[in-house]
Amino acid sequence: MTTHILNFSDEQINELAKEVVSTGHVILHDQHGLTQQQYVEVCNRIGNCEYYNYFMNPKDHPEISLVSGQKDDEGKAIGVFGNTELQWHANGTARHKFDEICVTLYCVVECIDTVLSVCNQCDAFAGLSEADKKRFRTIDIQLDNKKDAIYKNTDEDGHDLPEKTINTGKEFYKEDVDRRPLVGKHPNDGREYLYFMVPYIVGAFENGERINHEALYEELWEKLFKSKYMIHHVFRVGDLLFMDQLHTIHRRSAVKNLDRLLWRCAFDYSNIDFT
Amino acid sequence: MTSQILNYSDEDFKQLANKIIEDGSVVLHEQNLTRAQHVEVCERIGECEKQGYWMNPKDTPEISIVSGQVDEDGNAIGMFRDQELEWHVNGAGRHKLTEYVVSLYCVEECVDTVLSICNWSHMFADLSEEDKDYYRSIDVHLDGKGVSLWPNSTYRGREGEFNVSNEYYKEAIQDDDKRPLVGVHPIDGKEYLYFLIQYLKEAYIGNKQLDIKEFYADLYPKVFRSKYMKHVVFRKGDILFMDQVKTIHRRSPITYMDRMLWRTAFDYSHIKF
Repeated sequence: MTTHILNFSDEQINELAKEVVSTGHVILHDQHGLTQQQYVEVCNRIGNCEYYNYFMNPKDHPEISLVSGQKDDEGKAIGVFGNTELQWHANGTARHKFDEICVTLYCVVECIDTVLSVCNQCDAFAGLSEADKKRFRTIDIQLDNKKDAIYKNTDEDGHDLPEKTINTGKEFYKEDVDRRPLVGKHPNDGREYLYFMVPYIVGAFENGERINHEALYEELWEKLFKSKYMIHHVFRVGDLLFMDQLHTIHRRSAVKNLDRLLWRCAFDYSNIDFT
Repeated sequence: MTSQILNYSDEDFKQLANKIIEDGSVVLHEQNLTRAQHVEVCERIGECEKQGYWMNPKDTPEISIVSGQVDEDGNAIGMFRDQELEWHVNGAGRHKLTEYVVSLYCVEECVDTVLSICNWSHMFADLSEEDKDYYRSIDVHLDGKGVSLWPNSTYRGREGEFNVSNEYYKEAIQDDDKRPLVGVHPIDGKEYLYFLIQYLKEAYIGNKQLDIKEFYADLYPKVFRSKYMKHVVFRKGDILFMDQVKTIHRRSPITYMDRMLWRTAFDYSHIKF
């Protein structure tokens, strides 16, 4: 009998969050019947949810983003990301600082041909040589979403988003920095991770001097995206995935069943005791 | 540095085989094998099946090429081509087989193609004792007639892709032959529920034939549950071993047609358990 997350004690929620940080992700199966309200409540037991007012956010539950290939009568996407392949990415797109480092995805309608791959960039960093670790620690990266590069492997131009699309950029997020370290330290477990935010890197600096970020990109790709650092998941109805957005990065294959529907929340760990 | 299977000791192979049986599948990463070495590795575990089809290289007939590629005439160069593959196992449609292990080694990857593996031994273990007793009382009849591995396609394989007849496998079985729905693994003795969809045409308790539609409606949602599944996206150098008695698998369509795996099927006869 699978324990339903609605019945988790505070201690179990705490242990769950610690496992998400320690392994990068956790999947709970058979979590059938969660309502949007219950889903948000579950996430809020871990931390404060990000919420928006975009087309893909239900009005009464703005913490949730619909992730779907479905389109409305006018041919507009009802959810974020559409149905195309998604390049490796994480929450906090192109932001140098953000607090919502946990993402959950809850499966409402499945597509058994669509796979989500999760790569652990904390394990990848641990697997580097000491020389590489030392060098990468001296590098800062600059991120930008302007190329909309998450869809770069497809010919689709804009995933048919409605008029009001997603806000990005340092003004919107009120960022006071223009770069971040390539190697970060997780705020909760202190382990180092390699923040290779593939679609968003537009610049790199080694010891403060600008370097060829495209060469760095090639090098990092080879060193990070190894099969041994990956897990793969095909969502079935009732699956609930938690991913740490600093320790992992993820990609998705194209969606075949356009009715596929996931609910997505992003939140911090502020209600968890990591001591 | 990842351990290379070519350097495995006999004890390492024994541990690997035990893990395949216990977990239903094992993936090793960053392996670097030639076809001959792939066969050599598999034969450290057991005797490989050999075939003489167009997808078997002449110098290593133990290997079947699995690929979406086609030749200049439009014929598949490997088995299964590029379509979605329905849940299946090696030895599908046979009441008896000894090649309990399948290995797949990735030569060319397609990062959008996923192999899903469902463990029907773990599934059986989770059933109530009452359900276990009920399913133990059922015998099933398997038949490959009319079966398609390509459920959403008109593709039916390259001509002569498979021999599935009883005569070919020398099973000498008759149309009314049966096997237990619940089998016992020959090595670890654990039970598994052999719900081989499509091939499973009839089910009986004693002489009483069960309504096959009701039988499928009952078992399908019990077997194909997310918690019993693992998923593999092959990257170059990955080698997967799957126990064909403990697990069943399916594959999503291939989008990169050059994807190529080498496949072998073999028994456990070279392992001293």
